[in-house]
Amino acid sequence: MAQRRTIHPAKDEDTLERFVRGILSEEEQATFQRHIARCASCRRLVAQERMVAAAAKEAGRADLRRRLQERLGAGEPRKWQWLPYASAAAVMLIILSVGIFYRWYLPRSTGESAMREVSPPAAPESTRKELPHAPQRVRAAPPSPTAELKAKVPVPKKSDEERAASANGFALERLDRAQTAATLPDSSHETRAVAAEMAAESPRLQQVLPESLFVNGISVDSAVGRSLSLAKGPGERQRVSIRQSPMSSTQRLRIGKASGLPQQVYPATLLRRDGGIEVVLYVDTLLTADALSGAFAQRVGRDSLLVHLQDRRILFTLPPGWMPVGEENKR
Amino acid sequence: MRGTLLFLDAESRVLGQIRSGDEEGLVTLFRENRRAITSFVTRNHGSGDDADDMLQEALVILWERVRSGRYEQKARLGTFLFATVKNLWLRRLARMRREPADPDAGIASASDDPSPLESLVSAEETSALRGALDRLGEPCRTILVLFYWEELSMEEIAGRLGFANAETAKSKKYQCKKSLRGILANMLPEHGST
Repeated sequence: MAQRRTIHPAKDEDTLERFVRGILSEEEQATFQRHIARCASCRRLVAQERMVAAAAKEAGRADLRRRLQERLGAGEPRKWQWLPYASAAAVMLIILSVGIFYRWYLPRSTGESAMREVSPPAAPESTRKELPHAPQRVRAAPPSPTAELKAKVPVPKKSDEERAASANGFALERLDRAQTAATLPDSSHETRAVAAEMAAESPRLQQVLPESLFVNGISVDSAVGRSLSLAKGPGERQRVSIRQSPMSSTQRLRIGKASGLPQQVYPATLLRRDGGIEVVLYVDTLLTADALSGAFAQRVGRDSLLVHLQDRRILFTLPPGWMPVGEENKR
Repeated sequence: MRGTLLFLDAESRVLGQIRSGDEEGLVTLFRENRRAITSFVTRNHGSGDDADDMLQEALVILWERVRSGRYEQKARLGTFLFATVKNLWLRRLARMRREPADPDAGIASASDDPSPLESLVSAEETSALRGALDRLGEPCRTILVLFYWEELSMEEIAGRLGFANAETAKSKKYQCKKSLRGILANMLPEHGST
């Protein structure tokens, strides 16, 4: 057998098959390859064997594929073939909706600010009787007392969209949702830090409007209960108007970082006016008038202001020495 | 951890089915991977039928590898199938467009080797060879498929097809190959003549 392999190993059927299947020993493989290198008829036999093997394997594959198809058969409807089309349609619908919203809805919004007369939730009945004329509903805002501030204090550059929105008088910002601890922090030193930083960046601010201060507000989630317990006594009824002013998100982030608070910070300017307190929230995107309609501010205790905005409540701690108009003489 | 174990258990069960020749494992894999494969193929200029075709081809490759002991489980079976389909489909696209195949396509692919038949002969010859085997008739076709593709021993083939013993089966196989060579010699003279 070994001698025959040496003469013409490719003519031995077993050896030829094992060579093509790659299961010869290394020594047999080397001997075989040396032989066919100089044997043309042997090379043809190897080629034929390879084709036979390849044809048989191909037939085996075809058989398996056919059996697989039979098993799957008509029982495999492509139920989810509509999914890509549905997804594309949904995306198009969303884009279209956003486009319509910005093209037609936003420019028609009106009203620059919202003002709500705030009454202390726990105020006694007698107190209400003392102020029967106090309005209870949102009403039009007086001319903006921050116009001068806007004119003289450098404000962040507005995008065209922001400029258009602002010109149409959107009343309040769109604030990111931020739920934080319910405790009311003593942020007076943070407030001063932010105020100092903002004053340093905008030196004309305090020169022009000494009554205004930057404060930082934080989002809280259970301050309503606290307000019920703190708001008491006569004279706390006050008028608070809420306005917006564009500020780039970068600047907002920088202020938040400078405050050192872990919660999301909402910078604002407080303006003390004869008519009450005006809160100017600095925002990077705007809320619609509809969203504003339910927004209002509420005094919480002696030194805090709570802004209700849909499902958010933002607490502002008033700077030291600040108090609602009309209370200065009571202290 | 529990999820991983469950996944390994399911994959092992499918591999066990394939090793024992149970094709139900392939049906399971087809159902589990059809969606991802269809998504890929249809996003790359193919149809749902193309996707099914590619997935079946990948399953056949997996079957061959597992049955021959050449499959090494380095990743999930779904990953193997997806990589194989990707390579097969991009290769087909390249062939259709007369463009070179994506050089990255084979990175994760488990089937870089083309069909052995395709590597030997042209498309026309492939068709001719398939026809030649069909012309052989039974039991020759089955004997050769069991021997070359299933890689069964002559004893197993004899048992499967009811021959008296391995020698009888081997003798029959030899006759079948001789016949096939004759058919091939007529169909493909450049390959068939000795």
